Amino acid sequence: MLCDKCQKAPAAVHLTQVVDGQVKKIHLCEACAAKSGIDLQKTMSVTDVLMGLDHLVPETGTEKTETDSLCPECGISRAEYKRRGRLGCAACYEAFSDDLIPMIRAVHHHLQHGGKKPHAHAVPVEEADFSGDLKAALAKAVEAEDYETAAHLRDQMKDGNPSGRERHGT
Amino acid sequence: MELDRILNHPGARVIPETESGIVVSSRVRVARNLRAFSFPGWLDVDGRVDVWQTLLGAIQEIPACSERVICPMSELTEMEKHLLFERHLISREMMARGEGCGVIVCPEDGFSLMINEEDHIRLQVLDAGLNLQSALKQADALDDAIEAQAEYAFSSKWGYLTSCPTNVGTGLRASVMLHLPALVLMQEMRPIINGLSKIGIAVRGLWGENTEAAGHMFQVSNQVTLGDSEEGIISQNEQIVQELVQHEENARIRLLEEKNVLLQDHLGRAGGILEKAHLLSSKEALNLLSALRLGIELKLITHLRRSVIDELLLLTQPAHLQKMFASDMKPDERDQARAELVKKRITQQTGD
Ligand SMILES: [Zn+2]
Ligand SMILES: [Zn+2]
Repeated sequence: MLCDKCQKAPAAVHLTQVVDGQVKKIHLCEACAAKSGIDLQKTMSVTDVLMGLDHLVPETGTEKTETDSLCPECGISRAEYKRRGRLGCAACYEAFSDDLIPMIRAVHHHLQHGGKKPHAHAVPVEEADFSGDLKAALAKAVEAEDYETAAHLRDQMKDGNPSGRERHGT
Repeated sequence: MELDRILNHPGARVIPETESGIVVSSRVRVARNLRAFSFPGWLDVDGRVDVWQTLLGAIQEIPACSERVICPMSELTEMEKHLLFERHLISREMMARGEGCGVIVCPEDGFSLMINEEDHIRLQVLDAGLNLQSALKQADALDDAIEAQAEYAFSSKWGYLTSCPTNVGTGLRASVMLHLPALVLMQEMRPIINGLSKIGIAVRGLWGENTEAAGHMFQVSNQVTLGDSEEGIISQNEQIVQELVQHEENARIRLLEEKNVLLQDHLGRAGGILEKAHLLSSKEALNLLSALRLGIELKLITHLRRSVIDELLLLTQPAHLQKMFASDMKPDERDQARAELVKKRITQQTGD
């Protein structure tokens, strides 16, 4: 396998990265990895790899079509949370779920909490009122790494549910 | 000074001399956030102070926290912050924080709460030896008590919501500190670290990185926090630690049988330098003390007790050294003080 960046040397570093809501596997040779600021001797946090290294994506082919959406509760933008690698508030999990689902899956290999639950006080974070079927189909598509279907389903969900982002206009 | 109550307490470092010292300590850390506030990184000072007050109020109501020492970052000197850092009670990130941020420590009960670090709450329980189960139980009870006073950010899908998605779900990080000198000497740590990373377990040097780990102290912790239950995470971690302990024991036997001269040389040099040196860097001290620790456990060194070494591992760190000598020292002055302290402690015992 050749390096994704220079296409010359054999790839020695293999990274999983989330770009525009899609998981990409990136393969780099040692020289290109070093140039991109990856220190092979140092343990890198998964966060650094998954959230911080947008510039690693090869320029060719993928043009950026990132619309900078905002979290309705804390107001931070996608670009901001990506830059800092930290979410702004609890509602960010819904607001940026397109990015987060593949990233969380890459880190945890699960998309459903299986541990302790608060006894009384905690109220689940508001979840958008998508129809359950679409949601389940989306989860399944993401699980299967079928990102085309997932993107399609997400569009459908947005079409059928225009309330979210435009709501404050009323 | 109330900070002394924290420093005078031995914490989790004392293991009975008769027990194996391969597992040094167990730590359970739980991340939680309050539903009503943005995560700390995005809060302004007023917001952080608000969270701090809210949580102090909540903790006041909890009987288990009655013996607390409150350490607001804004009221600590740089040296005090470093002391808490060397005790693993605050992180580097926390050291840089100011008003509205701090740590609440219950030294006699072995737990602490960092407020407004990466998350609103980082609850930590520390225990000697391999005791993740009991540490989890204690953390769980404290978590329940806090939850009764404050509403957490929680979603049925993602679990406890954290500022960084790498901690989401249980918010649980279970880590065990291990002393693995024989595996380092046999050059077997790298494949172990690589292998464990593939199953979601991180192995890091306690001081320094990877196999360069000074003092041959390693921290083994789970990376995956979402999906499994708390008990599942803990038991996987314990199982891996037990395997590592076995590997280390095997490596010690092989060292004794196959590399006896190398081992004796290693121990002899360590003892010689520690007794005769006039300048000792922090890293050198850690590595040589680690060798003595191994020698004591292998019963090749009989004139020293392990607790003396463990105490020195703590006291030879820069801030602890400064505190003991009660002066602002330059690095070379610290190296001199460190050499003096070590020499005194290990030769004192020889005379016993
Ligand atoms: Zn290349
Ligand atoms: Zn938000």
